[in-house]
Amino acid sequence: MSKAFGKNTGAKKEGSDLLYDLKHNKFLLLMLLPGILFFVVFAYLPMIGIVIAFQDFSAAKGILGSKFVGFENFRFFLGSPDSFRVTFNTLFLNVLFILSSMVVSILIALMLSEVNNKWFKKGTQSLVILPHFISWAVIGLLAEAFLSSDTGFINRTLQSMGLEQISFYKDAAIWPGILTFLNIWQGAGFGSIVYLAAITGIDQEIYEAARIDGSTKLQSIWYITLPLLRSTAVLLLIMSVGKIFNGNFGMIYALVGGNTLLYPTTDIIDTYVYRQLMELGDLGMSSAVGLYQSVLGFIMVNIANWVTRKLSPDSAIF
Amino acid sequence: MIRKRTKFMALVLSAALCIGMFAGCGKQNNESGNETAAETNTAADTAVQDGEETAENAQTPDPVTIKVLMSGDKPNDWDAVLEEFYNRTKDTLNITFDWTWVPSADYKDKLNVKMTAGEEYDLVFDAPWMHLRTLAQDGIYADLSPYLNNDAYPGLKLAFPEDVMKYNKYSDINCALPLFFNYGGQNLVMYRQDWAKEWGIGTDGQINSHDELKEYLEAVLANKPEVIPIALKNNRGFYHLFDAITAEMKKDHIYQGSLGKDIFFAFKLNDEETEVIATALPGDPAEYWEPFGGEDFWKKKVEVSREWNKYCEKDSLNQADPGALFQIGKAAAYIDTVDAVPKFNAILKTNAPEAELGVYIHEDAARNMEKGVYTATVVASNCLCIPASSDKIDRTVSFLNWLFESKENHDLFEYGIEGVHWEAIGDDQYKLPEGVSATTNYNPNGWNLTWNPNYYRFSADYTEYALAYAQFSTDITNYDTSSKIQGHVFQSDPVKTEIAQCGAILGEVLAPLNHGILENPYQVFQDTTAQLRENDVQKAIDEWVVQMNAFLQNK
Amino acid sequence: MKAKRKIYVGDRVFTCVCHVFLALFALICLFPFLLVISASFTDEYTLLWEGYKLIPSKFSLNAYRLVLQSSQLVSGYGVTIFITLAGTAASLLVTSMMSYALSVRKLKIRNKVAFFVYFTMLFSGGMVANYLMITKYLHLKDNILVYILPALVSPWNMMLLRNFFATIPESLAESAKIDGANDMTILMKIVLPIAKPGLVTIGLFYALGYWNEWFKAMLYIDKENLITLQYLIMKILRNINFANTVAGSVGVSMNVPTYTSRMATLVVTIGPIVFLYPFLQKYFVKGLTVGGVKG
Repeated sequence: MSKAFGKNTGAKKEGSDLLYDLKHNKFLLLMLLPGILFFVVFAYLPMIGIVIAFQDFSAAKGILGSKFVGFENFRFFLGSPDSFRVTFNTLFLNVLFILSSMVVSILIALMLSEVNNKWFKKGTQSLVILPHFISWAVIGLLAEAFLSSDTGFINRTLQSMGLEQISFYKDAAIWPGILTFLNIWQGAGFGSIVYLAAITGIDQEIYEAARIDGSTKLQSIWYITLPLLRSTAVLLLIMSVGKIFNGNFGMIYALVGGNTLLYPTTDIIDTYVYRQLMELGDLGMSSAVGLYQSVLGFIMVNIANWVTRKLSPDSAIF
Repeated sequence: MIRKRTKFMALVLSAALCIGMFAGCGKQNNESGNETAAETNTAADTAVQDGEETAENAQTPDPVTIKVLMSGDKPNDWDAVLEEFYNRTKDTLNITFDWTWVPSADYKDKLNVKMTAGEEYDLVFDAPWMHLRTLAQDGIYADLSPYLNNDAYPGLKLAFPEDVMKYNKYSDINCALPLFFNYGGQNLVMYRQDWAKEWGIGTDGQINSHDELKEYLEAVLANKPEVIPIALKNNRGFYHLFDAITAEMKKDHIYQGSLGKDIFFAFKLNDEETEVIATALPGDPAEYWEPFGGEDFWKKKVEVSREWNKYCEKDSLNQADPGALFQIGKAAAYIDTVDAVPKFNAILKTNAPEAELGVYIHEDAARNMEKGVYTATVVASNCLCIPASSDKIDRTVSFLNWLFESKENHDLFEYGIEGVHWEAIGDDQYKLPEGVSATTNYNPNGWNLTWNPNYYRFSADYTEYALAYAQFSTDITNYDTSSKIQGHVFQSDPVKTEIAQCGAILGEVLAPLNHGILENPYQVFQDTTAQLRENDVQKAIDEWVVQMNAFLQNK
Repeated sequence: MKAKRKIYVGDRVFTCVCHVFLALFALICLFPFLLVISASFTDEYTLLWEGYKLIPSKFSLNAYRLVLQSSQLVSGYGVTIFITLAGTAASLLVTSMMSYALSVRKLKIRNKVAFFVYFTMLFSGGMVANYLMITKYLHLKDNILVYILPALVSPWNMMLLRNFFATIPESLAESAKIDGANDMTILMKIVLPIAKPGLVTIGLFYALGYWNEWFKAMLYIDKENLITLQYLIMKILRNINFANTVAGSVGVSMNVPTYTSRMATLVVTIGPIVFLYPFLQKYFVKGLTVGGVKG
């Protein structure tokens, strides 16, 4: 009885939220309207396409007419002996990427905010975002110029110093490291913009007050800046958790390409699926894998959000 | 008061945004409504009659616009070529084109969505490696058989004879016009003949055997330490240099089969060639290989590749562009097919005037130009199709007929305007006019619209030696056309999951094996095949055998 | 006194470390970029023989000649500049309205709407369904609006901006409310000025997104004069690669600058956007003083 009663109030409450807002927050709802309409038209209506993952899709019959085959399309990936390995690689590399570039981005932002010389500040800030604009295809070429066994810059240097060469392109174990480094190099500077903007938004009076109280710069950072950056960092973290099963295809494809010797540590879901389905071109199978990634990401993001809400309700994103 | 006004402003703003979002739609809705109202006409009989009429009456037909969806980028000077076409055919065809070029890399996706959305075209490019099979199965493409082998369409009759068309059926109908210009190109190794001459290798620097090639590569190691003896491409490795199954083996009814995705195997037919009697995967245990003579054909291949690996770059698996290394003289040899010769010859000459391009045709039968050894490849990799929804099928066909009717018409689209874009040398060669740069010249793909063995012209940049082989490959009388397995196309759909999974397993070792990178290569092959067997590769092979047997018995 | 000096020394060391680290990181970022620029001006043959060098031993403009020869370059730049300007403005408007509303705590449905938005980041209908929606029902094919409308709100940017709004102390809005200001006034007079760094950041992200747009051009545009710069450049690059790989095409009898042209396209496409950044920097360089905004 009491359970049913509880349910009832729950349902009632949800409806009444909207009613309440309709009554008291008309202006805010109005501001939401264009955005919501946008998501309905360009995101939710097309979501009917998700059914392709369960179909033997044919262009002639279309989304509504194609034959349903249940979970047959999922068999290709989930039943594959490699599915665990590539899922693990995707997860592992993404965790490395997300954490490392977050730390470095925050470091760069903090350091930039400590620099007083205007020219040095502007100059370094412009330079650190540059790599973000270099496409992975070109980075792949540059990486080869550095890492190649016969002509690479590093190996030539090692050779001239009489040291043993490193066969980068044959040693899968060092690639998570190389990829993480390149990911930091490519994205951390650009990623610092968000944190820099957040730091810029902090009221300078707080620092003045801390300074007068005799705190060092490090103390100011630790006790004032970092806590204020927390919500931004947590937000970015939760959002990347949702995409944690979607690997960086452009990066892996450009850097590893067809070098099968490196697959044990670098082959991710996206490159694996691309390779296997390139020839078959089966839309149903590729949609199935996409859905698999989304569902896993969805579960992860809900866990992350739930944990966040328990720890610090204000940082949760929904 | 103020509050009211701001609310009103916000309302107007929101409304304006919402309306703006859909502004594009309403307006265009009406336009496209009219277009789609056009009725379709696919009745073959009337089409043929129409065709005969246009052919006989020689009256100018009504102007018509043909919508074309084509793979590739718009060639340089395309508009000039079209202008010339309009000038020549104003009174006979009276066609204008609405031509959409879609870059090759995007074409597969775009064709699929366009067909799903039901967009209307009168002529499209499609291929068995794209959507041709599925779209044909669903009846998207019109049956062209009424126009083929029909005297009203002499151009089509000449270019697409029955012998070729019977192998290019999809879902049992001739809905695809095959585009190709030879019946199987020769594989070869390009090398520096000037260096071979200098080191006294072969007859006057002409390499004629694997031993001589090896001698040459050794000499490179010894004499030119800064040069890579042989440059391999990442996904090809030694390619066909040490082929496991050769064309000669068909005497014993042994052939190579493929499931797609790099899964290949040997199969043997009975003496009447009506049934598959044995199959074996590379690396299979000895009992599988007994019907084939006991020896796994691939054992030698991977072992020799391993042995020759010392002539390659260390990171050859990462080499996407080995040709460039050869072009600049950084590699001493490079593996490709005969149609790549003119380009390499020309570029090599530009980079190093003293260079002399040598060509080693490494398959014995090909090098000796033996007739009837190679089975003609007549199943085209690229095709032209006419969507069944088009209401201008007969007019589109009349254009295609024109295109393949005479060398003159065909040359216009394949090579451009004579004298401006190219100059003829004899009947089957051409060169660029003086002062014309290849980068800005007319540069169509060929494989997506025009290729045909009857009309092919060879570039003047061929070496004399290689030209003979190239010419050999465009003449079907040099090939075996009696083979029973010719034209068999495997429908992978029933076992696509198995193929995708096994392909993934094999995909990880195949390239390193082809490059000879792995130690104990044959052991690796055996382990991999054991894994394939665990993953039900036999189910896919069985399906293949069933289809092949059905095909053989239908002969 | 002693304690103060200690602080002073510690801060000096810290500032020093910051400078050194930033300078090093900036150098690591700059160096490959210089290699790219230098390579774009290098002769193809020289690049292949000698590899990447800071100063090319043989200078050549061939790559640029090839990349810039396209007749559609002007329209490509035009389309890209237009969608970048118009798109960023439209996106910022709709996004900031949404973000602001969702940042206000008194809005009860805010978390549900946030979830509604975030969900679209994870799940999408795929290419076919989007194509049908946009061409068949919205008829946006070959329409310049196809670049802007489907990209109007990015969930990621929306969430980020909401976060910027949310960090603005609510007390500011409340005290303004007591002074008799309404929602609109609070937004215009208090929230937006404080959130300026956030708005600039999100604006920059949107601008980059529009600037780099190629996928929609590939899928929805058949008319050549409506394609974006990035897609045009991509097509040129592929064409060059293609000319170099496919044998048997008509008379390719010269060195095609395959590698150097890749570098040149990079320089051509990112030049403008990189030069724009220093102008936005002033919003990140100086900290804001909230007290100053209120008055």
